[in-house]
Amino acid sequence: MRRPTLTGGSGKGPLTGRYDGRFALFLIAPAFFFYTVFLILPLIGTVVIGFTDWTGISFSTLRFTGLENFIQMAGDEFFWGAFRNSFLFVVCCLLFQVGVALFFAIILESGPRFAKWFRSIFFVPFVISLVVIGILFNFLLDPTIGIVDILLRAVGLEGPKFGWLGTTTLNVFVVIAVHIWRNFGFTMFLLIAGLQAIPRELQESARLDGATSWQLTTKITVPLLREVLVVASVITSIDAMRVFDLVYTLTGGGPYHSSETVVTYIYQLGLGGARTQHGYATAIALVLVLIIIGMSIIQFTLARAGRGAVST
Amino acid sequence: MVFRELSLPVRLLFYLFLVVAAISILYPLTWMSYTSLKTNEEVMLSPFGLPTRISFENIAEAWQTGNFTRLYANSILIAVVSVIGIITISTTAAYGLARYHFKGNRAIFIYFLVGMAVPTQALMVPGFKLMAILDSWAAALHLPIAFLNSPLAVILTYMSWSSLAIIFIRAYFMSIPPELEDAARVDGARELQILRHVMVPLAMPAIATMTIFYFVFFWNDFLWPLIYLHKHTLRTIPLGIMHFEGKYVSLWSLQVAALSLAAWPPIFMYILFHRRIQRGLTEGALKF
Repeated sequence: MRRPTLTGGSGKGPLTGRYDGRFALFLIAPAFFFYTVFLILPLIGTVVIGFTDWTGISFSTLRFTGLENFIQMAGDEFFWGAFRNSFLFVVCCLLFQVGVALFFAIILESGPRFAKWFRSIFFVPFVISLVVIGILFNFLLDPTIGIVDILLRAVGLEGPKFGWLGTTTLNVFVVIAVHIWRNFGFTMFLLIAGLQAIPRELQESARLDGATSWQLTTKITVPLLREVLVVASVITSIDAMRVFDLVYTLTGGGPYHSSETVVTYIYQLGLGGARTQHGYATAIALVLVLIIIGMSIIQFTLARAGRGAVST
Repeated sequence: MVFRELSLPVRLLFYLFLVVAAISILYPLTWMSYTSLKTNEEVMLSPFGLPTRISFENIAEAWQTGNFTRLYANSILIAVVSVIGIITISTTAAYGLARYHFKGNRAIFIYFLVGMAVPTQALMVPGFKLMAILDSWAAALHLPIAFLNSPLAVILTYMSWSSLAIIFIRAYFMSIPPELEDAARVDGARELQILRHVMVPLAMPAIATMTIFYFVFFWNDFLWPLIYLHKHTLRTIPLGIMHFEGKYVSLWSLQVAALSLAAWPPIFMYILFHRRIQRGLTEGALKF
C-alpha cells in the first residue's frame, strides 16, 4: 500500500529553489519554541529528576542520589504490580483488540448488508471522553444496580462478591475489557484503510483459481495486510501502555493498588493525594519513556521488514 | 472474501456477531441517554425500563449543580485556543521545512520527530514543576501571569505536541507541485501572502484532518487539566463530571444525567460529521 511514512519521502520532495533560510527559520521558530520549552525541556527534566530526590521547585534543593530511585523500584512490589498490569494490558489488547478489529474489518469489507452502519456504530465510543465511559461502566458493573449483575441474577448466576471492579486480579481484566470495548472500532478503521488498499485483482484471480473464502483470507488478505497490521498493533500497544483515564475512573488503581498501571502509579506517587515522591515517580516515568521508545523502534523495524516482504 | 458467496449458516453467524457487538456499544449509551430523561421515581421503580414520559428534570438539575455552563466554557476555551495555536504554528513550520533549502533543515525535522516517540504522560512531574517554576519567576518579576491553576498551563502544554501536525502537513505540502507558488511569486506575491492565499487553501485537507484530530484529543483529555487545574471554577468537562460523581454519590440518576450532558454533544457532532471524524482520526494515526 502506498502511503507517505514518517521518515520516508524526506529530502526528495519538491523543495523549490528557495534558499532564504532566515525566512524559513522565522516560520519554524514558534513551533520550535513551544516544542522545546514544554516538551523537550520536561523530557530532559525527566532524565535529570529521575536521579534525584527533588521535591521542591528551587534548584538549590536539587540533590543527586545516584541510582537510589532505581534500587527502590527494584524492591517496590507496587511498581512490579503496576508494571505487570500494564504488561497484561498490552498483551490482552494485542490479542483481543487487534483480533476483534481484524475479524470485523474483514467481515465488513466483504460486503454484508448495513456494513457502513456497523462500522460507524463501532467507532462511536472512540469520540466519547474516557471519563464518561469509565463512570458509565461503574454503573453498569455495579453489584446492586448494574445491568450486568441483574442479568446474571436473572439466569440464576451470581456476579463476583465484591463487584467486578472490587475483586483483585479480576478488576484488571474488567478494565482491559472496557478499554477494548472503547478502542476496537478505531483499530478496525485502521485495518479497513489497509484492506481497501489491497488491489482487487489479486483476490479475484485467486478466487477464479478456486480458492475458498478461508484460503483467500488467510493466504492473501492477511499477509498483504501485514504492514498495516504492524502499525495498528504498535498504536494499540503504546495506547495500552499509557492507559490512565479508565483506570483512574473505574478503580482508581485500587483496591490496595491491585489495578494500578504504570501511569496511574506515577501519578499517585508524584502528584496524587498528599504524596510528593517526585524523584521516584520521575524515575518510573523514565523507564516508561524507554519502554515506549523501544516499542516505537520495534515498530519501525517490523514495518520496514513487512514492507520489504510485501513488495517482493 | 465475498460475503454473498458464504454459506447461509456462516453468514447468519457473522450477522449475529455484528449485531451483538453493535448492541454492546449502543445499549450502554442508550441506557445512559433515556435514564437521564426519566423522573427520579421512575429511575427508582424500574432502573432499566424506558421512560413513560420524557422529563428534563434531572438534566436541568445536573446542568445547575454541575455548573455545566462553566465546564463547557472552560473546555471550549482550552480546546479552541490550543487547536488554533497548534495548527497555526505547525502549518507555518511545516511550510518552512517543506519548501526551503537551508542548512539544518533535516536536523530540525529530526528534532521534531523525537516528539512522536515520547509518551506525554511520562512528563507529568517535570511538566508540573516547570509551570511552578514559571509561576515563581512571574511572581519575582511582579508579572500578573499565572501558569498553574490557569488554562494557560494546559494550553502551553498542548501546544508543544506539534510533532504529528508538522510531519503530517509537511508531507502534504511536499506533494503540492511547486509551479503553483512560483506562478504566484512571478505575479509579485510576497512569501507570507503565498503561504496564506495559495498554500494554506491547497493544504486544507491535511489541515482539516489535523484540526479534527487535535480537537478530539484536547476535548477529551483528562490528565493535564487534572494535573494543572485545582480550582473548581477552572474545571473542564471531564474533570467536572469526575468530581460530580464524587459529590453526589447517592443520587445516581443525577450522575447519569451529568454523563449525558458530557456525552451528547460529541455524539451529536459524530452523527453529523461521522465521515470526516472517522477519516481525521484514522489518517492522523496511520501517519505514524
